[in-house]
Amino acid sequence: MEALFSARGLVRTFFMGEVEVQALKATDLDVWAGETLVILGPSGSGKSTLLQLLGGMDRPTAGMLHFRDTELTALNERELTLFRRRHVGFVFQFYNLIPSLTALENVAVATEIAKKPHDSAEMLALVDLAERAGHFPSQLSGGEQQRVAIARAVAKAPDMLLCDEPTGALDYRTGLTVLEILRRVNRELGTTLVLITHNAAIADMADRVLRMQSGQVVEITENATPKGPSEITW
Amino acid sequence: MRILHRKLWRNMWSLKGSFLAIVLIVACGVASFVTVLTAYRGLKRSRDSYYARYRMADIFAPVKKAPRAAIQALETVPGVRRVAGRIVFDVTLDLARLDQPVSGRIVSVPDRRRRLLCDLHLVAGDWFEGDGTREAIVAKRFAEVHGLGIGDELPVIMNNKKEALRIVGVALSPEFVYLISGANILPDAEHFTVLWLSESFAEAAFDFRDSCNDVLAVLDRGASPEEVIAEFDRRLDRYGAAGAYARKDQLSNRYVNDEIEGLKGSATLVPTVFLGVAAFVLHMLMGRLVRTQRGQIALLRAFGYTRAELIGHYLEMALLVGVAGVVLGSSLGIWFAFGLVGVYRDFYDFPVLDLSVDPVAVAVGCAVGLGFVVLGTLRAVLSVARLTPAEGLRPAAPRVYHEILLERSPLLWSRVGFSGRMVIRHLARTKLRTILAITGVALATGVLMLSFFGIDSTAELMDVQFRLVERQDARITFHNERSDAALFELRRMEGMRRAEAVLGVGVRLRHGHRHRRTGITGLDRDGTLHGLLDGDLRSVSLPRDGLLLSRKLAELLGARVGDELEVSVLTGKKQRFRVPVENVVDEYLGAFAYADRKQLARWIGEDSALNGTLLSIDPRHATDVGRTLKRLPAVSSVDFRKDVVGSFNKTIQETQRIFSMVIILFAGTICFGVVYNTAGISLAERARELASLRVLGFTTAEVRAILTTENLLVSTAGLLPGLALGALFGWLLSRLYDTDLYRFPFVVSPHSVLKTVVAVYGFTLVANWAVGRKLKRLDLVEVLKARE
Repeated sequence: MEALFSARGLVRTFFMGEVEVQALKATDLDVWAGETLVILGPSGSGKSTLLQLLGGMDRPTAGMLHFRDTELTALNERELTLFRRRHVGFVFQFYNLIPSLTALENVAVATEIAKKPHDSAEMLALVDLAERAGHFPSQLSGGEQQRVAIARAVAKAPDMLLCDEPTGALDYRTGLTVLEILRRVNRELGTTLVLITHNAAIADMADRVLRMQSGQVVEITENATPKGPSEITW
Repeated sequence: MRILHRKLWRNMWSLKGSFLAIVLIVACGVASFVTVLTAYRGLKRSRDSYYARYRMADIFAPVKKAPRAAIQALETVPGVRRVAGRIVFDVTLDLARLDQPVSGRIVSVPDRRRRLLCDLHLVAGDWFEGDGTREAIVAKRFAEVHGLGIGDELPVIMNNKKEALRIVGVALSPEFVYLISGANILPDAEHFTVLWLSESFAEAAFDFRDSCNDVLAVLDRGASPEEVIAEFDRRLDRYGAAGAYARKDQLSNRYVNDEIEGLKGSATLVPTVFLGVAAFVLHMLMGRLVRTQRGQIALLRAFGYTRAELIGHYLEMALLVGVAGVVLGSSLGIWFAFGLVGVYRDFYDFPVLDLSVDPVAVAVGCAVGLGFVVLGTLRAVLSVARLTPAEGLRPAAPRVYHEILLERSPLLWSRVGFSGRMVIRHLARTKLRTILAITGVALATGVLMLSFFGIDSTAELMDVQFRLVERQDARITFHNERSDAALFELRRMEGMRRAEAVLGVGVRLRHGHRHRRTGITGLDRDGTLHGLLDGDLRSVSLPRDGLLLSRKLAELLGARVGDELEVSVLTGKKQRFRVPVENVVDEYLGAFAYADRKQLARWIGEDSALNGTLLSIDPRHATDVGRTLKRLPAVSSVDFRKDVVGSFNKTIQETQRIFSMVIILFAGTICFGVVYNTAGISLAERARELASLRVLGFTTAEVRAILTTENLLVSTAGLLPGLALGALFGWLLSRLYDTDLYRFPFVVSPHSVLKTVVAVYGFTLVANWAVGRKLKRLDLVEVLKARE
């Protein structure tokens, strides 16, 4: 299997005032193309830090991180931006839609800067929001906003989707719908899915589960028979 | 409260750029206010004390020749406290170092020094020795320009004789604060001076034994100048009274007064604009601060802080900004006023010109500055007062966007990119702030335009007056009326291209109950050296019969074309007659009337007469002509156009450059402050949104382009009303300086509009750059983590 990411000895240290905090201790990790990887851990375990490093939003303090043949750790600010633009789709806990743009425009804002994007309207249809295209974020429910965010992330045809607690702010039923959509993107478009959660139940839909604690990977388990979101309960 | 103070400092520190911008704008407003108010009060005080200490006359009454006894008898006129007679003559000086004559005004003073009306302030030398024969006291400005000192000799042509006068003193006089002959609008000490001679010497030189031709009077407090003038004119009639006039019509005093009145107007216009903008910007900034701190305010209220304590907290912030601005502004104002002394010295001669620290001006400036600051904070502070703890702790309602009007036109809207849509919808959503920002830019644009307006207006005045109206190279005035033969003499001189006759007659014009002392200038109908123009600079022909009035004179008399005026000639046979107003001409200097010379001569009972000429001189022979004119005894004064223009360029342009620089700096501060704050607020409120774009893969430059678009849009929207506002300011200023001595035309040159536009965009981009630096520091991770 092709490794999309390979991290070796990845470290991220923050300085909180005069205290040094190791958010991520020496971590080795490979992310395979096309897989669904769920990173599981309590808050403060370093999972968000890891995701931000993978997504090119942050730089490691030490270690090497490759995306395919590109050494991400060697890229400058502008190159990192281009990397995010071409290869990464983000989905956040709080959606982060642009409030002044409609649903369709929020998707199009991503396709506008992409090389070979999907059609924005089709992407909205993919998340079942075709009829809400002209609505502003303030006119959409949380679940709808998150689906727009997914459509936006997917629309630029990224190599992977990095999701930080995508269901964290949603109720159970809405959360399931969102997971369903993420899974469909992974299966139908072949987009690698990296998903952070502290909800252990969600791990059941993963190909692999990475458990983290206190800035360290404590366990990686392979899941021979990942479940569909509809089969998951929490 | 100590903790609240700490919060205050930290809040202010985190917004230091924005607060600093407001401090600077407040400082600009207060500085201009304090400067102008100090100048206004200082100039007024200096004038009043000078006039009082040196007994500036209340009434001036020129006559042909009157015995001293008759003049002394005027003290019996009710309301008159004291009169004095003197001899006044215009002469020419033949200075070796100049190739042209210098005009001089002889004024006689008693042989022995005593308390005089219009007394002299001796700055060097002393009074006359003995009877003062061939001795003179000269004007300080003249002595300085020509490097003359005590003991130097001055060749003066007096009563057809050339005399060498020895300088015994150098002096200032309250009636020559503005040292001017009447032919010029600026003091030109290079070519004009006053010479004070002893009575004995003047009487002998002009054959005026025990006689005078000028009367001064001071009045009792509360006496009416009009009644005294009427009585003087009646009693002096048989001595050839040329019409008495009050101090308010005295030339030097008019210039001083016009400046003081102009300052009074300026003291309100410019500072109000600045302080208004400061209030605007503060309003935006404090509004935002309170909005983002709703939670904190609610929390503090929940803890038990009183409403008053919290209002005090935010008010204190504003007051700190206000105090900083006011302290900086008044210091600057004091310094500028101090610098103004130098500028005024170029124009006015006071023994003491005191523009030092004026506590009243500073106090008023500070109070007004703080007042505006409090005004700007009021709304934000009131919203603090209205916030209940429970309400504040609930999350603020989500920002709601709606379709805007433009979107109803799909054809147009589809052409707008996403960043454009973001910008436009954002601006439309924060309507009030957008309107305030646009207003701020508009005001800055207006102030900038105003600074260019001064330059344009002066250039237009100079161009019209000295290229289109006064086309002569030199103007000669003769002592007495002469026949046309004088012209032929002049025309024979080598290098003389044209010599055109002028007849100037002092008159009082009356229209209904309004009347005015002025002069009618008689010109030849085929003359080319004096242009008569209408408002569109088209040539107006001289009527055969009737008068042409300058627009200002027509305005002062309330006369229109077709109205009949009553003319009373002030000299000679003192004819009275009625003539119609045939047309109106536009001139920027003076308020005069024009007529056909032959017709004017007939009106005053002459066949044909002239008392001046306009000359056009071949530049190659200018020196020779000048030298010849120096020796003509009949000539009372010669004024060369190049000297008028030269002195003008030297003094006015330099002064104007300094003022423009200051105003441009001020306007830049406003523009920068407004854009910086608007953009800063916009950035702070949308940090999350912009960070999201960065995460999506937008580069810093692309995100900055959104902010830049927004700022440029605001500036563009502000420009147009700003240009209109600038035009309005310019118009107001031209009204402010519209006097019967000079008028600054209201002109807006395309060049200035262009400069204004460039400057506004320039300031916008600088502010944009300053805010854009914050974008680089935008922490993607942090911003996305925190919930709004």
